[in-house]
Amino acid sequence: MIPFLASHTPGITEWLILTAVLFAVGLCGLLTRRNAVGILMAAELMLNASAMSFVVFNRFRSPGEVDGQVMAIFVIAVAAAEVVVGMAIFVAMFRYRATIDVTQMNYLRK
Amino acid sequence: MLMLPELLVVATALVVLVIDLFLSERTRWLTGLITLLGLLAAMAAACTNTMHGALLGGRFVVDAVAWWFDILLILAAFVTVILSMDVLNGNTRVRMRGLGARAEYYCVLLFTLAGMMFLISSRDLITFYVSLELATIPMFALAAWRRDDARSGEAGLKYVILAALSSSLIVYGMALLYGLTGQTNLDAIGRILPNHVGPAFWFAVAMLVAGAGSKFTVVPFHFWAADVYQGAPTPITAYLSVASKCVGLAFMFQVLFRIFGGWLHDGSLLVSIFAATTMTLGNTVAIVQHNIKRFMAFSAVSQAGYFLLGFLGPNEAGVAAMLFYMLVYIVTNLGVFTCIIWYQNETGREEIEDYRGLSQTNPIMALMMMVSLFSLAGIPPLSGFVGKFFLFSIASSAGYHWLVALAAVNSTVSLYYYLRVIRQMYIEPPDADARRIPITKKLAVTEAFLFAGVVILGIVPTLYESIHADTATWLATLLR
Amino acid sequence: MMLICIVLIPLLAGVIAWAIGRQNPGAARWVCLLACAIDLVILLTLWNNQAAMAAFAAGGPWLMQVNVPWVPALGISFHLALDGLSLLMLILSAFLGIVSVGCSWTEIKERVGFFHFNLMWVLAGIMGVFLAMDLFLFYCFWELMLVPMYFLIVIWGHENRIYAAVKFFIFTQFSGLLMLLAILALYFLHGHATGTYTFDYDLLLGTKLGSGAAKWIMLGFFAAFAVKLPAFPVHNWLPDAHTEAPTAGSVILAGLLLKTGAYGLMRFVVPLFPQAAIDFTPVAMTLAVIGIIYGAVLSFAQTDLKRLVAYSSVSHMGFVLLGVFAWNRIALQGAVMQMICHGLGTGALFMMVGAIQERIHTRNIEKMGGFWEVAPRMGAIAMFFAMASLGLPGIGNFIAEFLVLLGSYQANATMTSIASLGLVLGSIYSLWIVQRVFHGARENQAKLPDFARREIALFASLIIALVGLGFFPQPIFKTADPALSKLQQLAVAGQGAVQVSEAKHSGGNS
Repeated sequence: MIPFLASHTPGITEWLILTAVLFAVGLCGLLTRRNAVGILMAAELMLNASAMSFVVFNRFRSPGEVDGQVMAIFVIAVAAAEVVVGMAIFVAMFRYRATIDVTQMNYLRK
Repeated sequence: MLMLPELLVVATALVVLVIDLFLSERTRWLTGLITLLGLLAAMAAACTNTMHGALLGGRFVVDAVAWWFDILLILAAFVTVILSMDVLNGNTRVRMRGLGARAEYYCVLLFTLAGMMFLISSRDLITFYVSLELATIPMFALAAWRRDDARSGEAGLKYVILAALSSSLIVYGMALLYGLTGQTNLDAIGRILPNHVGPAFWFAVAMLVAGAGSKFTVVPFHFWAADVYQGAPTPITAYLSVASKCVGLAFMFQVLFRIFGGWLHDGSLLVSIFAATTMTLGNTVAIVQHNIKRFMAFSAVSQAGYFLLGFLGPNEAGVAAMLFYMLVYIVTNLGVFTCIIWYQNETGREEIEDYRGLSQTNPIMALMMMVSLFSLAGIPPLSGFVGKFFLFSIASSAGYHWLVALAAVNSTVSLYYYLRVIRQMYIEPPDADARRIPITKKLAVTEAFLFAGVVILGIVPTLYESIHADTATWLATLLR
Repeated sequence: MMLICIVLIPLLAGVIAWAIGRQNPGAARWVCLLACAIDLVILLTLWNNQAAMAAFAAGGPWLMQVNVPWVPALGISFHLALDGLSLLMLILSAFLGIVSVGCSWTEIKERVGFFHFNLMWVLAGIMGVFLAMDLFLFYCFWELMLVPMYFLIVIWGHENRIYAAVKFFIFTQFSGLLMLLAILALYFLHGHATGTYTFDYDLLLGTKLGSGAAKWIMLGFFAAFAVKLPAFPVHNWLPDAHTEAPTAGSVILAGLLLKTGAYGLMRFVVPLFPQAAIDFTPVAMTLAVIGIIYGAVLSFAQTDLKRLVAYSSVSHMGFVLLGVFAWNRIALQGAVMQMICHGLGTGALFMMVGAIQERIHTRNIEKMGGFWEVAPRMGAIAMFFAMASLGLPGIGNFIAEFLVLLGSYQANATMTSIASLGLVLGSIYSLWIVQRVFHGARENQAKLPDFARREIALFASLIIALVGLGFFPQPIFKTADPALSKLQQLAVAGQGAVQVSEAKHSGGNS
């Protein structure tokens, strides 16, 4: 195993599989988690998988450019902003309801 | 100065935030006024700017469609700010809890507006994505603005989660597009993309369509709308229902025309199916609602279905029809929401049943609300009918007669449920102790203007002519 | 300009009535009465304008028209035009407008201003329908009638009003949307074929359509008009709506709203799609005959007097449908005559029922009887309108039904023979009304004041009109004839064009 890894540099396929898996894991997490913070983490995972694929594509498709990397940085920054706002809302919610279990969120619709 | 309106909006946001530091609690209402002035200035800047052109190396372009979207968005934000003022200043009969922090509210609102305006002008994946998020993320905070109201918080929470899901899909789709073409310029992507049709391409299409659908509340990506609309502070519900819808349309324009323009003709069937399910489901669910905000949410979903008719074809008349209907929809929906906000401010109620007997206590407001609702339902000669008529004719000319028939059935259904509200206002007797409900001057004047708009846009649809003339060549350069 | 005024006057009167109705209900009534009277005077002067009539008869395009572009990008114009047919219908509208304001003078006590607003707006919508020669505009007016009518039924109606109003609304709205669909299809087919996209009636005439397309588009129009008419399978809304509406609402519904359907058939369905209409004739005539017999038979089964009159409307309007699809000069003249006479006669019967209900608070025939003794004037008037309804010679209805049968006999003898059975049935139920309500023993001991001066005046005007039509129908024929013969020529020309184009393309494209 070790000699195999040492002698093989992962190519675009491997990297893309990695990002796809991360994205899929994030998606599953987002759909199955009950804790809102967990859901937010899953969403982060999806965003970061996308950021990563930007970098991967940048590296393998147009190595001379930096567009993909710039995009990745922006995605990370925006994701951070999203988390900040999300967490603020969750904290406010937690203070009021003492839970952030999304299955308990049923005040609306009544 | 192509970017002047956007810059004015951002500058106003910052000015409001800074000035707030120097204001006492008694003079803090000035922030609202400053916001309005800033928006007026932005509107003036947009209106006087007749130039089209590009900035920042082609990453920011003002063209006819972007110009019209700017106007529409500023209009929507302007009215929303007026509608918010009474609530934020505590100038209501029923005290709203947890709606403080005026300057921050306006600031955040203005930032979403700036994001929306940048979105339609962006020509680059990076600016496109960042402006989309600038338009979305502050909206979470606005939805959850009533800190000590669990429903508002719940709305914010649901909004965060579902919007995060849709933005992840969008970003991943964008990554795939970037990977396929190696470009970040939207036009370049659109040009090169036809050479790269494969599984990855279809994957990207699916993700972007799902993301766009969720922004524009297209069934089956509309889940977030009902809860968020119901829980958010009512002025924000109004803003969501018009500005957010408008930016959803802008997003669809960017994605469908600019990136996937080449497939739009072949994809017409898919668009028609989305349109059909959206209007049918929105309408069917709206029938059984009791809460007026939730009711308006489903009404907004069904309206999104009518908009989609404009993508069939595709032709420049469709672009003009969609823009015109967006204008009509903004004016009409805000007209309805002005009434809802007024009623909630004064009585604290938001069930459809609570409106019973309104025509006896406040005949003029009831009339204006009724006319706005009829316009939404598409009764001639009101503007809603004219707008819908243009959209129907697009679908009809594209050969989708079945869809027009379905849309017609849906209009009938929608009329039925709008009549539910009207029945409460006009037919049910008022409560024995009901008396005339006072209205602030701000709301009265706003409602009067919106009402005039609803009627005049229908009787004198010259604005359609100007939109049509402005955007006549827009699509040709894209679908080349 | 005059034409715009005709529509604008009731619209404005409605707004004024609403504005002042709260403080001064009496003034609101007077304003509306005055508005209708002004309209009537304007129309009668137009009718009296011999020079214009002669010019039109000599082949002029319209008696009068206004045509200003509205949305030029889509070929929509504000085109109002008048010919003899429209003129007659408009005079009927203005006249029944006066009558309906008059007959609600004491009946409506709540929200008088809003009531008159709705009444005037329905009237304006109806007048607009009779005038609009741009299909988009036509559709606008078509829908404009709907909402105020809904309110008239749902606010001032009787017990079951909400059900009736919603039913009325859904039937008419849905069929109206089918027509919208047909209008759009016609617009685009015409546009594709000729390159000019227009909703203008004059320009759309003679559009060459493939037989399949023409059939479907024609059916779209037919659906909307058949619902309003009402023709047999879609008449369902009518008994409910008529029964539950307030008297003025019933008068407008029976007197005018139904006529818009018949007018639409004459003006649009046959001239625009002559070949498709001819192919459709057997079906339409069958529906007409079924409507005539079915309406008459169901009239017997009613115990609700208002419902009885409503079903008789279905029967009478069947004659109009029969006459229109027979499409010859005599039958068309008869149909126009029938529209006018039915408008006046049935309107009067509804007023009669309204008056009875206002006095004894029931419409149940079982609870009536012997009214003649206490209210002889009412009895005599009722007798007259029952005679009118059964088609007594000397009254307009007789001429109308006679001409329709005469004309359609040439077109289809079998159908006509069956339809004439409707006359027999009609005379039975008409006499039955009089016998049950006015003769026999007094069932109901409620006080029954006889007609007062206002009511006598209203009924007298209707009686004079009907008798006048019975003895001097010539002015009506003279006015309608040029318009009708022009419509006939258009249909014949269109038919020829279709045949030519079909021969060329051997079948055409659908």
